[in-house]
Amino acid sequence: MRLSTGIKLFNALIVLTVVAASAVTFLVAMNAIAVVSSLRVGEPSFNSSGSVVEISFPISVSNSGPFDVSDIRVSADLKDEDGGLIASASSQPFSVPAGARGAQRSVSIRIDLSEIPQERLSALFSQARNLTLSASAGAALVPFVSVSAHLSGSIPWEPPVKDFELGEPVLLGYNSTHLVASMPVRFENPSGISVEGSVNFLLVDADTGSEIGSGHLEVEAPPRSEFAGELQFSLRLPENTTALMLEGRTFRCNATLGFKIFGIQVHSVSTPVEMVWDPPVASPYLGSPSVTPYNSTHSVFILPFAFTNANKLITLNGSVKAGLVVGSSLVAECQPVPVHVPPGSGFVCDLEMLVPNWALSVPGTLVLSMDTQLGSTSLEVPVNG
Amino acid sequence: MVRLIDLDVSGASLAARLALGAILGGLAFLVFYYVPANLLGIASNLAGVEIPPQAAGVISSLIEPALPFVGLALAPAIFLCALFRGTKAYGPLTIALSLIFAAYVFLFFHGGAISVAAPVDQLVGGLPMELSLSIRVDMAMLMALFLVPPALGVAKGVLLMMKRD
Repeated sequence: MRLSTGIKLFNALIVLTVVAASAVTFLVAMNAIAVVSSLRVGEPSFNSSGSVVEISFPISVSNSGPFDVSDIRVSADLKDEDGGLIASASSQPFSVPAGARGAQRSVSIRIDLSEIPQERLSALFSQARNLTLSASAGAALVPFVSVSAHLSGSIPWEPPVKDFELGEPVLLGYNSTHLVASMPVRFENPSGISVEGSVNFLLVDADTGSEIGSGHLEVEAPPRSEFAGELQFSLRLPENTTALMLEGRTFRCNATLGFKIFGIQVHSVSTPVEMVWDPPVASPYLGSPSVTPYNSTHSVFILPFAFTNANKLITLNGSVKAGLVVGSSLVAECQPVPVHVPPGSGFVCDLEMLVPNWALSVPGTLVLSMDTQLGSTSLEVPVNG
Repeated sequence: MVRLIDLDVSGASLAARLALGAILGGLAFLVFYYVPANLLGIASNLAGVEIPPQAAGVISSLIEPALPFVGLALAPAIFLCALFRGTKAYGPLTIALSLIFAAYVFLFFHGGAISVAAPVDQLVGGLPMELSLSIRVDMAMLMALFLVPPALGVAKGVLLMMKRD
């Protein structure tokens, strides 16, 4: 009799536990579906402080089921090909109690640019490569089910600065100490991120290594766009600008362009730059002087003078005059002849002065002087009477 | 009257036992063998589309290879239990059925934790990256809950045997 009762009890318990297990399974499944379907990821917010860039994704989740969802955690690492950490994301483990509505949490992706070595940062900015993503997430429906997921893979990275090109520099203007020039800058941004920042330009004399110029360009290249801009910079002239008046010169410089994003230099490009300077007084020509009697004591001395302004930028303005020095005395001088020579034009004049007849028969020095906005220069030619 | 081991049953009762055993055994065959053995085809018919090979691999990994065969063993065990209910063979048959069901539960839950690996980039077309996803679902507690009925069944079988003795 007792055994029969026991068997009946076991039958009842078997039915009860089968129903209970099935009910729990159903509730766990419904709970999980409800939680997952309530999950909402909001608009990310960007924060930068110093070298740290933080992107936060707000997450809203509800739990209408009977079980607590606990130990919800998300973490991710993004590494480059060499295993160097580029970005990491994490959330503090949190729980959503049964019945909770719209629980708010956030997952933050943190990038500390200062912790990424410069060469790695620079390579990321200019070279296509594969990045390694490793992400983990987990949650538990206490006490019946816990889920953990791990996502790993290789993500092709398109550099935000690709095919960077510096064009030929063009001289725009000048003053007594500096030249102002511009240089076209072009690059492609095939990536999905926006390049917003500045390009700082530093020009260093290739021979002396001293800084001779600098410039600045604001850059804004949206994802999958091409950026083209003009980088203006000033170039310090050599102290002896007179030499620039008569002699051609090639400024050989090393240009370094540094890309800054969030105030941190993330990429730099160094390239040699050459700027050709053509002299404003090119191919100076002194013709054969002619002398014609003026009166019994003086003669008219005529000296033909010509040159070409080979410079493509500067209109040479000033004056030219000639004088005759005998011994240490200036014995004759002509009136200054105005000079106004646009780029590429020629200048021709006859410099006339009254010379004492006695001076024509003794050795002397013919002095040709030019005063221009670039400075003064003089040319001395010995004459033997 | 027909003698079933140590029990005399009428022809009608035998017919009823045979019918009940066939129905329950058939249902067990359908649920515990046919569905897991043909899960891909059934899922494909329900979805109305051909399941891609990568997804098929993921679905197949949810089913332990031995599960359908254990499910297949449940059908005759249930049939025999229905047929020999009340005889002295019923106790051992109940224990055998419970143990087979326990094995089925254990295999169904993969021993308590199911791990699935999925090549995400192959499952989701158009991704410009190679991604693999591995998911581990720990259901040991749920499995334990489903192991309670077979454990009670074993205990019941022991009681049945004791009652016969």
